[in-house]
Amino acid sequence: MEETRLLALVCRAVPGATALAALERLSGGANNETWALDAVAPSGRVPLILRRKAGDGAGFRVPGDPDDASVSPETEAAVLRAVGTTGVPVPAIRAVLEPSDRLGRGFLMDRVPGETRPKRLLHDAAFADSRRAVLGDCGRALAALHATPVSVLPPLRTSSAVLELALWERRWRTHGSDRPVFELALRWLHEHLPTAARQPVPLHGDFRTGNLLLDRRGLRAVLDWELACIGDPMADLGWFCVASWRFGALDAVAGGFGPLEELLAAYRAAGGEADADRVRYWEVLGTFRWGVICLDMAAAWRAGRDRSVERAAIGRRASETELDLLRLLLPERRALPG
Amino acid sequence: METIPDAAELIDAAIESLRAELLPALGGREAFQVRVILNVLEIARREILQSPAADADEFVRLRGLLAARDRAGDLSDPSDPNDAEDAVVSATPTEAIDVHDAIDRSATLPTLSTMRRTLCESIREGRIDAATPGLTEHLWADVLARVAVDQPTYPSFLHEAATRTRD
Repeated sequence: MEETRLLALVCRAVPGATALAALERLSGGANNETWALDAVAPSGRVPLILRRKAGDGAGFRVPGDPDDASVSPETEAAVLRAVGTTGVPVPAIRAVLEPSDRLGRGFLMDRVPGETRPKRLLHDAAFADSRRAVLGDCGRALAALHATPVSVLPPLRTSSAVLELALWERRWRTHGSDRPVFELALRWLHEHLPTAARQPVPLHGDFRTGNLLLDRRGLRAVLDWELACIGDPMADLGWFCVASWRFGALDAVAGGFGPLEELLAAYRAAGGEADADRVRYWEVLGTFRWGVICLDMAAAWRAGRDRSVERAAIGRRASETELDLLRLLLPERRALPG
Repeated sequence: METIPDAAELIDAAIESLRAELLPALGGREAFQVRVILNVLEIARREILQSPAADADEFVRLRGLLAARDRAGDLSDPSDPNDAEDAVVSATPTEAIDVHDAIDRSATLPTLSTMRRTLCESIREGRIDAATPGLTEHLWADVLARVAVDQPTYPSFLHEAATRTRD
């Protein structure tokens, strides 16, 4: 990290800042780097997060991949600024990187104190109160987001069940492997396609446990808005329910925290219009989507775009989504021979 | 090939060394990296040990499933168990046999990937669906066998395995 350049950025972003401290790299995702740091000002320290694109920014994808749905960091920062004014808990944006900063592309935002690691949130006794509150908080946050006028946001791609199904089916076909459960799921997804959303609304696009920051009292911030788009509001709720994001709390359908009904009740109480059948559709499509993403990552490893052993290993997580699709579409309780 | 130690044993040796000698000496990013490596070695080990039996079971189930489909379509004599395989092969005459499969695995297995592909095509075209006798049982057995290799601690797998043991 180029500390002199970073200090100049911090001085621009935090009035009165004279130094930076406690610089620490938090994660090295394929797409983004996340750094924690403090701005030191006469009034005290200001905890910050720097998010910036890693490498060429294409991550495990082929650079310029037309299927890459992620928005630019500049757009992501604009989305955060817009939804932050409408009741969605998000970190405040302090500065967006400019070419003259010579730090790449990204943004600087407040570091909200709390926890994001799913296993801690779902299983530690310390978060018991938080778990009881969080579905109410999530219902209200999603209702506020989905009620945000599209006009206050930067231009975002428009999505729909038809487009998403076509995208993920096309990506799946590029892998050329034979998985009968995926074929069965695709038949079901085509046969049960919901009608177009009455009113496409702003979506987070990756609303799930892991992207939610909680403290001891409940939801404090919704993070990672890189997949923000416009579409069916039930898509955000269905993705939240995908079993892979329950991290061991298998029966707590809503993100591992509790029953879906609790989330829907809070969403409706906050003015949202919820449809459990549509949520289920998006859960099935989301489970398939996560399976294809796992295969995409393994394919990136095979093609040599990302030779990390994690990328290779994640390909083997596709089978977990087949199991979850069977649990959704062909629940069967009889003992199997053998 | 008859060798000692065999591939699974060699992987065992690597796993033991990583876990006993390397992991305790590491922290942070390096320790995480070693855990990821241990995970892929364990997957490979389970695949070596479990896939011969799983492939054989899959072969038998697929043969029955596709034979039943062909009987429904009056394509073959239901009394001849070899017909299913013949029908599959003749249905996709241009299907390339995986040479690696043919050499390295038992003589019955080259058609496993062909049958798997035929099943996928049949589901895609609606000729086999959830109502087809045997499909549900086949898919559950197939997926459970693969998750048992890929991720035997996955919560949905532990739940289903426990449900089946109770029954």
